[in-house]
Amino acid sequence: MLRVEDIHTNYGMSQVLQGLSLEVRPGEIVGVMGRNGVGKSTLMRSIMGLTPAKSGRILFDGNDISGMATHAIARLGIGYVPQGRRVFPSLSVREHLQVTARRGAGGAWTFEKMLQMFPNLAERLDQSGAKLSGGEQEMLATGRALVGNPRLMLMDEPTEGLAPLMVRELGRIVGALKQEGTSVLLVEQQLAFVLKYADRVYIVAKGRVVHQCLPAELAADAETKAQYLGV
Amino acid sequence: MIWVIHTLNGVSFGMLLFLLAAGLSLIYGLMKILNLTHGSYYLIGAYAGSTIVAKTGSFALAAVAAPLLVAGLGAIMERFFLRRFHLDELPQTLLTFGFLFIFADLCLWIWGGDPVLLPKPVPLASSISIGGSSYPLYRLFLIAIGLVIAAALWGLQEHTRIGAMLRAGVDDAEIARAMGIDVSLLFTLVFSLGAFLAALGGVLGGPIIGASPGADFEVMLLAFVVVIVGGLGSLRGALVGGLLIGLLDNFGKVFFPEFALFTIFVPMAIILSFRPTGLFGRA
Repeated sequence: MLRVEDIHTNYGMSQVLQGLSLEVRPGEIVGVMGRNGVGKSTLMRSIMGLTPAKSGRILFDGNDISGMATHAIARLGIGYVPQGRRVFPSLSVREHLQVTARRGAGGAWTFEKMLQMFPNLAERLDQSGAKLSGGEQEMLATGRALVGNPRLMLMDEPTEGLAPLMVRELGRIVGALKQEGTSVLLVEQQLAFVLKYADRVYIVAKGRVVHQCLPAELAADAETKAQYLGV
Repeated sequence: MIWVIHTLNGVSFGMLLFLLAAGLSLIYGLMKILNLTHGSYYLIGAYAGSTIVAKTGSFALAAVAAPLLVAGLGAIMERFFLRRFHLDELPQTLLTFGFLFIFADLCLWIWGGDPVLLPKPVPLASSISIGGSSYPLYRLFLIAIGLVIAAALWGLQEHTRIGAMLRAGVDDAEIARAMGIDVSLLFTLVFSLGAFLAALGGVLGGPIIGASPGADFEVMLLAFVVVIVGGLGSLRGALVGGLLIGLLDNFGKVFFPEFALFTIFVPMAIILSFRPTGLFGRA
């Protein structure tokens, strides 16, 4: 479904991604882990075309999307939940969930479905996105991406700064995505979250993939955890 | 009674300033472009409107066709020139500065150097009596149409899907793109809309202010003051700022004719020292 092939990306003056390759297959939840500053967010931005890769290819359903305009990439069926949520302060909750709604291949995620899935948001439809709590903003950022009915979701550190209860809530959503057959590329710092929900894990260091394994293998691999994740 | 007359004069002029400032402000809010060509849109609108009125005799046609022509001009400027320097403020500002001179010379070439005053549309050419003194109906019409356009723009921005996309683009253009919103298309639309409104201001202001070489510069300066006072990117700011500057300008000319510019720029400096982002601007 998604193939990232040997991409190099600069961010400002520094080369952040240095020949990174990975793959997400249909219906798969793939975790990407690594310390701060190894290029995980830049990877997401490169896939979305926000910080285009200087070389290498990014294939989505076999089409090369590197060099395409960001909005066109999104419309192909890639949803993006950015780090730090970045909800729109001038838009109400309702507008977040309606403005970018598109019928995808399945069209499973509708405005009504979002209200069922996020009862907290359903109670605050006319509030500004900026007035929500961190957890609610994460839900809103997720819902905003989902109503575009993507086949692949890019989630950048969704649990960052969330209370344990909200992390569990987020887990429920990732589970629901899996059930609908939506693929997820999940950049995360919380090892437990990745171990619980990912089907496969890539570990990134210095702008490239240095290790890939199953969650169970990572859980047992104290050396890799210590070397690349610092746990 | 003289107060009522001067107030109405100030408000009607303020509505013209609003038409100019609204576009200028929306363009800056979304694209961060300081469009120095905005006064030229006004001037071309007024000149083209005068030609259309002369050829067809229809003021209404002029008020639609001339702004559409200028909107097309704005779209060309945005798509083929400004787009190349996205978010690069200096080249963009210089580019619009260049267009200002090109348009000024083109206007001089096509319409000559004599001031042009558009005839008032016949049904509005009469005066009505306000407290014993007669007042031109056309100025009241200007106030009404300004209010209608303000309401329409507000409705567009707050209650339509495209308005919500626009606000999303102003808030965070990067994320708006990542949600599948074609922000580049919004840029062109907003730029043309701004040009349209400025040119409409030119046609509507034609019977009062008229068009002459240099009017582009004067009008642009006032529009910038309005936008700075009202707050960049705010429609409400453009309306309130337009009315404020319109009134200040009018009363200033009446009471302190020798300090006319003073009465605009001193209040502007005072407002800015208390609210650096303008009355309704965001930090």
